[in-house]
Amino acid sequence: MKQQIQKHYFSLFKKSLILLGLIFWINNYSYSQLTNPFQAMYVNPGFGLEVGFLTQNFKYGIMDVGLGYEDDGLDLSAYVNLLWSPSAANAVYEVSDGYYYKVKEKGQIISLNLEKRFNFIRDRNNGKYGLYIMAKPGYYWSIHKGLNNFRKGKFLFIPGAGVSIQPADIIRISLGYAYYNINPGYIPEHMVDFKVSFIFNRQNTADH
Amino acid sequence: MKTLIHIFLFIGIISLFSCNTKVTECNITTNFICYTAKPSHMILNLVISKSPSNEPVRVKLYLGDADTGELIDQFTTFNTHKSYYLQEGEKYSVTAEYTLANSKTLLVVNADNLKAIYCESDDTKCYDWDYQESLDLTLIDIE
Repeated sequence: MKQQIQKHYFSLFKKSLILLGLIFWINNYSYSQLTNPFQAMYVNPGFGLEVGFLTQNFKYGIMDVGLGYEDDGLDLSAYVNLLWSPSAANAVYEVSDGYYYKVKEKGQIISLNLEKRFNFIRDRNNGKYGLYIMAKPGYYWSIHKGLNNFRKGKFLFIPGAGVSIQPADIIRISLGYAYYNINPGYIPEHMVDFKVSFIFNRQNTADH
Repeated sequence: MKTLIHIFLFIGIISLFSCNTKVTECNITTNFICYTAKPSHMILNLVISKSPSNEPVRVKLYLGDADTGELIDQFTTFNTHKSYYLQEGEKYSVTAEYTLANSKTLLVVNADNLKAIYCESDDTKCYDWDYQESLDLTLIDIE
C-alpha cells in the first residue's frame, strides 16, 4: 500500500514536471518570432567549450571534446577538437602482399571543427533555433593492443549538418548527422552527432 | 554571480557524463571467504578459431608487446583453447597466425594486462582467486 502511494506521488511529480516544462516552453514560444538567418551580422567574439558524442547504433561510440572561438553575431564557431573512442574495436590491415593483421584498435582524431549556423527562430530570451552545417578537417591516428611500433594515421575530412538549439546565451545543443569516411571499417560512416556547447565571455546579445 | 552559476552548471553536466570508478561490494553468502592476499599468478585463457585451411595455428606468447617484448612460448595447435598460468601484474601479448584457404595469411594480435580483481567488504579488499582472463584470438572475415 505504502509503495502504491509512493508510486502515485512519484507519477504526479513527474507529470507536474512535464507540465511545468510545457508551460515554460509555450511561454517562450508565444513570444518567439521568425528571423532572417542572412540578416546583417556583427562580430561578437567569445570563448567556447563543447562536449559531444557520436554513434550509429550505440555499439561503437566516439567522444568529442573541443575548445575554441565562438561568434554569436556571425553565428559561427571554430574549435580544436579531440575525438576518441573509449573501447577498442577489431581492425584488419594488409601489411604486405597477402599478409594481414587483425588487431584491437583504439582511434583518436584531432580536428578543426568549423561550424556555421542559420537561425530561423528567436525567442524573448534571445534563444536561437535553426540549422547548422559543419566541416571538420582533421588527422586520425590509432594505437593497437599488443603492438608498440604499429601505428596508423591519415588525414580526413568530416562534413555534417543538423539542428541547433540555443535556449540561452551560455549553452547550445546540436543534434545532427556526420559522415565519417575514415576506413577502417569498424567506424560507421553515418553517425548521429550530439553536442553541447558552453559559451563564455561575450557581450550580451540584447546590446545589439 | 551569473558566470559562477554557469560554471557550476557546466561542472554538474560534465560529472553526469563522466565515468564513476565503482568499487564492487562483495556478495556475502554463507560460503564467502575473503582472501585479503592478492594472487601472485592468474590463468589466461586463449580462445582460438579452427584454421579454415586445416593447417595448424601458430601461437606465440610474449611478455610485453608482440613486436618489442620477450617471446615466452610458442606452439602450433589444432585446438581452440589453451590456458597459461602467468604472473599477475604483467602485460602479455599473444599472436595467432592462420593460413587461410585462399593462400592468404592472417596474424591475430591481442594483449592483456593481467590484474587481479577484488570486491570490498567493510573497507577490506577481498581478492577473487578464481578469476580468469580470456584473450580473443579468433578469426575475422577478410575480403
